[in-house]
Amino acid sequence: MSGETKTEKLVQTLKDLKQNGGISGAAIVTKDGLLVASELSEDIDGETLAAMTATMTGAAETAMSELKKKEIERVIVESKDARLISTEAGKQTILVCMVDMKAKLGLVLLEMERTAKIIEKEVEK
Amino acid sequence: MTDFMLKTGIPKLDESLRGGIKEGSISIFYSEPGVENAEFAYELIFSNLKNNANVFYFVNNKKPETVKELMKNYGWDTTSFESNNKFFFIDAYSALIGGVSSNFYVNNPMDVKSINSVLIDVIRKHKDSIIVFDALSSFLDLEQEPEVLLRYLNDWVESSRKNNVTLVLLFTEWMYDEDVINKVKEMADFILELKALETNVILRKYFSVLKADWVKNLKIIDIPFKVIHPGGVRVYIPKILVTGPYHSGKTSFIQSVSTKSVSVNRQETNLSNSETTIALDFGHVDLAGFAVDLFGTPGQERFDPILERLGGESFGVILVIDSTNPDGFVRAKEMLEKTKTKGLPMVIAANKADMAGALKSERIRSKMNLPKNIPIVPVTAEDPHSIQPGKPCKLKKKETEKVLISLMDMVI
Repeated sequence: MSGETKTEKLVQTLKDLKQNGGISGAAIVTKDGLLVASELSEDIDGETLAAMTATMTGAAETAMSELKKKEIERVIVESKDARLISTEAGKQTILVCMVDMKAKLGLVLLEMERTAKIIEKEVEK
Repeated sequence: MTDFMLKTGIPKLDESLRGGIKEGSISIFYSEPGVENAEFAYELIFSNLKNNANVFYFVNNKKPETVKELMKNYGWDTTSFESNNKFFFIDAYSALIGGVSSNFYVNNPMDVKSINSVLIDVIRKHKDSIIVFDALSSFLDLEQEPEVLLRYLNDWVESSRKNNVTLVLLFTEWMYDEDVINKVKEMADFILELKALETNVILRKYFSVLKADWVKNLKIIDIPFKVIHPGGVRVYIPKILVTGPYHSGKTSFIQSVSTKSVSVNRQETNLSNSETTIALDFGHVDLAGFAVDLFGTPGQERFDPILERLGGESFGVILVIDSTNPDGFVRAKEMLEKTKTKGLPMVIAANKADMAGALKSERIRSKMNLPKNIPIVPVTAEDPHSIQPGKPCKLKKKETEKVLISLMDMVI
């Protein structure tokens, strides 16, 4: 039996995800904008990222539901040098990743989906 | 003898006009191309048909049925007034394309004499009635010397004054000779200007009273408006910010006062069953001749980075506070700083005013060090038994509306 705490396990999951080329940072946040776990460089404020991830994802969900369309799969925000991608990871949490522009998007999305399932299991244990 | 005032159907406009349009006066609804003017006439017509007025609608640029349809789109149906002989079309168009449907019609719409014979007859025989002339601009487009057209127009104006007929001329400013425009304007007792102004990429429409002979010391102010279907002309305030500390009741306020609203809320992680705003609340309000859009901020500090964005371009602020929690007052003031809305017209919605420990308005004023001119309006839950901790609840509609109306008085 492993002695790892839930947070340690989640951080490990994020570390595994980061092994994929092009993902430069990742975090798990609650839907109301609190930081659960993160693998981010020192200069990034995880708390603010968590709140803004919840804001943009929540606003995107509401925008889509106002269009009477199905639930959103993910939110992708693109800048000149990076993408920010968020996707649901369980009922209460969101997985968010910073991705370099040169990363293969399809692969990243697949890995995120796989990781989201692991997080969901871990969080809702 | 006091003058009889005809209500325009737009409360804010009636206020500017000290009661409405003077009976027997000559009005021009003067608009830039692309800005509605007929809708202002429709408001006037329906407001007065309800008061048993006789109304004639002269139309020279579309079929009367088309006008009827347009009115219907706003929710105004002329049918019963037509059958009760209160509302009539003067058809100065259909003869051009064959077939007329009105009792009053112009045989040859291209001929000013033909128009005159019908119109002058109506003016003389129907004292005290209202005539809407749609459109003066189309009339001036007739192939005739402008002086001749203006002479006829002047006859109608004079005759209307003599017969206590209220004449409303719809005018869209296409390319006309300045001299002609000035002469037309000189004939009017009342000019309602309708224009569009571009501010920060957003095109907004405004009305203003340029001239109203019966109003002393007229102040010309631009009042933003929009036309809604159904509904008609509304004074339009595109953005009122609703802010205030965590769990003061911002979402409750917006949901209670709005005709339609959406909230981006999520269940809180730490508290069971409690909900918190994570992005914003948005609500449309249609109230007392106003159309207002409300933007509500989150209250929790971790969302502060979006406050300035949400506060931008606001016309006024509703600061929602929890009357039972004076500890939150500092945060309330901080949020005004962070939304960059200090100095805008503001009303305090003192929520939970009926709960144990709630501070009275004057205590709130002194604790928050608020100047006298900032209204503090107590608001309370509609049904205290239905309150669920941490969840939005229905507030008394009358009280929330009072907050909004107090703010409207300050914004415009």
